[in-house]
Amino acid sequence: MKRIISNTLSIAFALLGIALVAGGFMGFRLGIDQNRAVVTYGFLVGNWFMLACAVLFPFAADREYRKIKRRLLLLLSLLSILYFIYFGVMWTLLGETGMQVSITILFMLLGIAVLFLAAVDYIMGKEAYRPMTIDFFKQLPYAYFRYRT
Amino acid sequence: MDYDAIVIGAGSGGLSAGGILASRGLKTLIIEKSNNVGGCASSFAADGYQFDVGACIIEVPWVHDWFYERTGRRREDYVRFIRNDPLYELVDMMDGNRYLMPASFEGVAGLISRFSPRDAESFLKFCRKQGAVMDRFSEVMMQTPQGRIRDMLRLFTKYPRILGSMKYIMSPYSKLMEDLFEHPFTRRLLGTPAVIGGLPPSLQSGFMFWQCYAEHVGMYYPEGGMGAVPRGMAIVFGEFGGELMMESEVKRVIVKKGKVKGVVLTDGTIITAKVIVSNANSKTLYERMIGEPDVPKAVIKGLKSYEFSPSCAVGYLGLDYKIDLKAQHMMVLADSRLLELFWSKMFDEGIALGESVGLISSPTFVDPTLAPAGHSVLTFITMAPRHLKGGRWNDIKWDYLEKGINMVDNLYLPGIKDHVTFKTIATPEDFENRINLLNGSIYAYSMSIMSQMLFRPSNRSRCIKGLYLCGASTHMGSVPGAVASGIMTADLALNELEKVV
Ligand SMILES: Cc1cc2nc3c(=O)[nH]c(=O)nc-3n(C[C@H](O)[C@H](O)[C@H](O)COP(=O)(O)OP(=O)(O)OC[C@H]3O[C@@H](n4cnc5c(N)ncnc54)[C@H](O)[C@@H]3O)c2cc1C
Repeated sequence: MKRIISNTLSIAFALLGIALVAGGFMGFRLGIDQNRAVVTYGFLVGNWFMLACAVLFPFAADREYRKIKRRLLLLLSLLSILYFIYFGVMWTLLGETGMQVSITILFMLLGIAVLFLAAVDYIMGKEAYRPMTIDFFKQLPYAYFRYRT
Repeated sequence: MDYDAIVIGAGSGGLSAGGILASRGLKTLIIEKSNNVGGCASSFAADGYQFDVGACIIEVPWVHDWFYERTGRRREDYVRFIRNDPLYELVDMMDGNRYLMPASFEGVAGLISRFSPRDAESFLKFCRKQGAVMDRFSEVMMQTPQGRIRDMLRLFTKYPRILGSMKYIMSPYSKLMEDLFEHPFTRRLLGTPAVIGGLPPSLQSGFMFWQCYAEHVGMYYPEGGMGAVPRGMAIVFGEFGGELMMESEVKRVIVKKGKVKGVVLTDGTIITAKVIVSNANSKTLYERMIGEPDVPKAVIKGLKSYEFSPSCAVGYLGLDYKIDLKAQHMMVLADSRLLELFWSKMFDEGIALGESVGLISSPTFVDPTLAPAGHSVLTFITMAPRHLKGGRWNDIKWDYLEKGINMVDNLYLPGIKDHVTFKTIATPEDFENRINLLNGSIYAYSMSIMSQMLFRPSNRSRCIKGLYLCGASTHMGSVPGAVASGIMTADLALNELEKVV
């Protein structure tokens, strides 16, 4: 059961990621009202979906991975809330082009992050890959500094 | 300038770099802290016995041949290698049964087929396809500096076939074993190289299967003991007029305006040179021998972030009889879960397990001249943490040695403890004190993907001009890795010197 929930969630994240990237692509073609609608619905649905996942789904993960999964999901939820605040503040300040540029860049970035989460979640869902993946992420922040040596 | 080049340390890396530099007519000086050349791969004499300090297995012999070819010589004229066959006598921890690991691939398949013919077939197939690809890639890797992105691209363009093996390289070793083999015996038999490669099976890359493959391509022991390997290189170095300064330690590297000028020894002597090649650990070099502000903060942060490879304790025994052995080396076969448990007890919790997984080597099996007539030499290497939980090595080392002797007596060679005429031990702390082996780590930094290639310190210093680094802390740890790094580093230094000239 755990495996099914975990895999379904990875697929759902992959779909959400693709949708966000596609939204970003489309951002340039839409007018300001349509873009505002994309922001509103995109974030209302996406945000709640992610927050709900952060609260509910870590329980479906194996114990040693639960904490990491919750953190990853909360981090992404936080990021999307920041986006929401950004668009909220800029709602009236951004013109059509500003809105288009913001949507294209920010949606694409968030989409890539969500796709990345989907991939990580899929790999971490497999017990055999978990220690190596955790080790990899523990060391990843130092990659640049190690490269400098 | 006193010299064209100064090499700090006469380990495998330093000697190969020094040899190449001297062979190109450069006035070269190697400064070595201890009274012996070879570092981890040296030998020492005591009570009429010759012991290997650490390394006791030679794989990938072409690297040694490469060094001699580059200096216009033949390896056979300086050091001869004797092929190990069988490779090991293995003691299965599950049931105490003993097996001989044959040298040939077919022989191994024959052993495996006693348990699972399907696994035997799978082994041969994987060796033929992936083993050969990984072996060729490591050959390319050993000959290519890996400090910059451009070097990495060159590496993959030189041998693009490796991209087809990425699936296995990115897979944990334990998973590879599960996917390839069905029988627990096969998994135990082929799973142990992961640990010898410096990581537990769950963290080790599937690439380490190469280690398993390389053993069967050829595993050797040098006539005259491991020390014969560095001695041969030191002779070549001397033939080209290279100078070796023994029992002298470099304390500081002099850097002015971002360029090396020379070194200061612990007795205060200053020696100047156009380039410095360091075989000392790169962290020690940058942090203690140079330091800020010559070394940028980002570099220090990178160095601090490295995890170390495992450390070892080695017991050295002189025995008054000829041991009845079937192979030079003996090893246990353990289930991967047990290996993981040992690993975490030792390296996460800091507990020294005298009975821990390791390697036994009796060099007199292949070269009886290493002991007085009728006597034998035996060393046992056990993985052991550098920092002990609630204690110090000096307080427990002699007890640890006794525990180790009991372990050898119980598990491998019953009755051996009544024949011990000489015994001593080197702990990770001893390795650190005697040959500056930082943390006592056998391969310097961790062998994980994030500490390799681009992410290991560069052979040409990125922050100080005229400074070059070689050895295990810049390249894949091991004797051939260190020798290869020395050759490449010398080439980089020669490039710069030729530009200057
Ligand atoms: C117990 C043990 C078993 C091993 N078994 C094997 C094996 O079977 N096969 C294998 O391939 N590899 C094995 N290894 C690993 C292998 O031996 C090392 O990775 C390799 O020899 C490292 O070579 P190196 O040139 O980097 O440096 P080292 O061998 O560490 O040599 C460095 C030298 O520099 C000197 N030095 C350091 N600092 C200074 C200074 N400031 N001034 C002057 N001199 C200095 C040291 O005294 C030393 O002689 C083993 C290692 C250990 C410890």
